[in-house]
This record gives sequence, structure tokens and C-alpha cells, in this order.
Amino acid sequence: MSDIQTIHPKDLHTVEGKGGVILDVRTPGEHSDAHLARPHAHVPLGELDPADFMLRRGLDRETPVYMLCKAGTRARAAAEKFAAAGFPNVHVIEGGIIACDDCGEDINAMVVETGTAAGSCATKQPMSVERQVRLIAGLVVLVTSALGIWVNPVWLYVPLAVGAGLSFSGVSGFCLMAETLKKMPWNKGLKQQADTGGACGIIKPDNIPASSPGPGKPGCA
Amino acid sequence: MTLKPDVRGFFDPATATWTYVVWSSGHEDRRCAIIDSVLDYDMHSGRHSTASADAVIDFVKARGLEVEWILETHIHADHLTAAHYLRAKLGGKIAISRHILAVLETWAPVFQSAEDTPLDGSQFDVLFEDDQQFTIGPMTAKMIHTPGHTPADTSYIVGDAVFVGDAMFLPDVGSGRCDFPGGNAGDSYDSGQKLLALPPETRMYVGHDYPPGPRREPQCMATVSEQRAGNLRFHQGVTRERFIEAREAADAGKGVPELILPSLQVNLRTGQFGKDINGVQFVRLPVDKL
Repeated sequence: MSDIQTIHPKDLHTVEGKGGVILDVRTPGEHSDAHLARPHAHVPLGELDPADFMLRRGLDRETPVYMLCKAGTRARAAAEKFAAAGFPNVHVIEGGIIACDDCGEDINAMVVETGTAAGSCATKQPMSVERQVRLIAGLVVLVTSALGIWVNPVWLYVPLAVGAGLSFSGVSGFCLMAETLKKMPWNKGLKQQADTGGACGIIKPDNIPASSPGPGKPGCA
Repeated sequence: MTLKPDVRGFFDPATATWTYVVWSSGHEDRRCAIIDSVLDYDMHSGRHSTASADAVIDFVKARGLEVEWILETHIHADHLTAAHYLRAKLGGKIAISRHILAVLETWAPVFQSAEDTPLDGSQFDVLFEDDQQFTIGPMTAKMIHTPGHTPADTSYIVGDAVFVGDAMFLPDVGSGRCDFPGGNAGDSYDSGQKLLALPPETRMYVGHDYPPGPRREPQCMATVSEQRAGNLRFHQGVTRERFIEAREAADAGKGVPELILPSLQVNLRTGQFGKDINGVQFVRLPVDKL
């Protein structure tokens, strides 16, 4: 597995010249929330079959593949899958899409329409795992703190534990709750034969270049 | 044992076209074929570019391949071929089905282009006969006549792969329209049956992909067994009559492809814009001829 290489986000512009392909392995929800403006493929890590992916997209064995996730952990797991399947030219994009954003990569962010103006074409956008984690952690802290103040102080151990868990995940990049949530059925990607075409292909992201190139930005040394 | 050729696909988002490079990586023989290349062309400005073809050239050079064939599955009506440009840059023989002569006869008068578009097909290096066998480096290949979309559509069988052009698309897309001059839905059905009769594990590579939903990214390959089971138009149990009925209903009232007029005249010259007048080349737009 040691032949997996890494690439810094500031070097992503070289990918196309090398005939390479960027593969985003985050969940569909995370991908619709924000994704690279430059061409890339998207298959959630849980559904990824390296040989099948390469074959159906007309990529030969030696094509360089650049794995992207949020911060790098899932990209490394995806790269290991490819290496194990015998693909020799696999790379991990260091720091994931967060680092890409910091390095001035154009990111298309989606503004989710909350109204029903789109009529029968309204398409439900799954919430990203990141937002689900924040929502659940927030609700747990809110409820157990209230119980600790007004019912029994023993409840305060729960927000204490949540705080410790969040700090740990912030430092290590590993989040048990996110890993668990990713396995939930609503976070599984849609089937390949998505039949959503017809007259209703309306999930038009408002393309917002998230940040202008900023050489002075932290994290992009 | 059937050779399993290596296949690299290049997708052109502007025309949804797949171009393929086919070779055998397990061999010292580095000869390859390029199938259905694209020459970029902008209708409004009349400008062309070779960006798509250059990506193929870069790939061929990077892999150390030697171009033996530049194959066309048919005279495309929705994009221009880069065959002539590729031959000038990389060598190789440009080949197409002999049935192309009928297509030349139909279209040359429309464009009044006999002056720079030989009606005998001599602008192509090889005109394949039906079922003609040939080799791509160490691999045996065979052309089969698969008309319907146009009267001269060809599929190329190479090892365990078949390149079908517009005779069939991916299962959720179906197959090519049959309303161009000389196109015929009944022929298309018969051609489809020929392709579906290939061994079930055969890799079928399509000439275009039009993903039906925003989450389905462009792909180029489905196996014959997947096509038999689930092709929108060719799935098992569809009779010839019902296929024709559905095909004709789908084609009724369809607009013509944006690039049809430049495509036909240029592709009949293997991708050249034709004889110049004082150094300027032209695309002819015949009035009321389509």
C-alpha cells in the first residue's frame, strides 16, 4: 500500500494535463452541498468498486486517480481500495475539500431551495453528514444541559462527554458519530440508474465561486 | 482465449461523444486504433479547435502507442471527426464501411461538394466489406454492418469488446435515432439483435452517452448481458413491431442536431473543411435541403 502518493490541493491544475481523474468519495449530501468546480467523478466510498469504476468510465489501468473527501481520511481508504485492486497510479488529495477551498480552488456550493416554487419538480436534497452530526450533537447538549440544570446534575456528564468527543474528532479527524451516520440508509448514494430525468431534471446549483484565490491563506503553504 | 483489449475513453461534453483508444497492454506490440474522434467546432463563430483530438494525441504518446487505424463507426451528424488531423499527426489508416458510398451519393449533391469530396470514397484509406477481419497490433478485429441509425453504421469487434457507435446506447438511454435520410427503425432492430447475440460478457462501448439524471455521470460501457436485461429499447421481450413503433414515435418531431450541416460535409472528407478560396475555407449551409 505504500505506493499511494499524495498531491497538494494547489497542484490540482496539473491533473488534467496528466490525463488523470479526480474522484470525490464523499456522500451525495456532502457532494451537493459543495464540490469542486473542475471536472471530477463522484462515487461514495461505500459504493466504490475500483475495477468497475475504471471500466465503465473508459479509464485504463495506468490512469492516475486522485481521491478527494472532506479532510483526507476517506480518500486514503478509497486509495487503498484501488491499490488493493491492482491500480498502480493512485493519489490522495491532502486535506480534502477543506484544504482545496483554503487554497483557492473554485468550489460550487449549492443553495438549497426551501420553498416549493419548483412545483412538482422539487427534489429533496439529503442533509450532509456534517450537518447531521452538528444537529444531533447540538440537540443532545441542549436537552441534557437543561436536564442537568433543572432536574438532576448527573445529566451534565452527557454534554461533558459530547464536548470531549467533538474535541477528539476535531484533533484526530475521526468522528464516531459521522462514521455511524454514514452507514444509515438515508446517507447511501442513489442508484446509478437514477431515473430522475424527463422534464424534471431541475437541481440547478447556483454556482458560487466560494473563494477567490488567496495565496496568503492559512493552510495553503 | 479471447484477448481483452485495453480501452481508454475520452468524453466530449459538448457533443456527448466517446472517443476510444484500443490496444493490448500485455504485449510488446504497441499498435492501437482510435475510434470516433472529435474535432471541436463552434457553430456560431465558425471556429474549430483540436483540443479534444490533442488530448488523444497526448495519451497515445504518453503510453508509447503507435496508431495503426483511425476507425469511424459512421458519418456522424452531431460532431466533426478529427480523423484527418490525427492521421497527419500520428499516422495510421482511416477506415470506414464500404456502405459509406451510399451516404456519399445522398449528401454530396446536397452540399454540391463533388469538387473536393470524391464519390468513390478514396478520401478514406480503407473501405471495409461486411464482416471483414483485420488486426490491430496483436489483436484480431472484425467489422459488422449494423445499419439503422444511418445506412452505413458499423460496429467493430475487438477481442471481448465491441464498439457500436450509435447502434445502441447504455441501457438507461436506449439507442440512436433512425430518422435521418437512409435511417430505418427496422434495420436498427435487426442490428441490435446482432449485437445482443454476442457472448453475454462482451463489453459493449457506446458512441455517445446522455445521462438521464443529474446523478448519473457519463459512462461508456455495459456488458451484452446488461443490455439484454435492461436496455430501454432492446430489452428482452420487445418485438420488432413494438420496437419500430416506439422508435418512430420517439423520433417524430425531433429537431436536427446543431452541427448536422457542418458535420456531414466535413465528415465525408474525413474531417477536412474542403477546398479553399484564396486561403479561406468554408462550411456550406444549403437552404431548404434538410
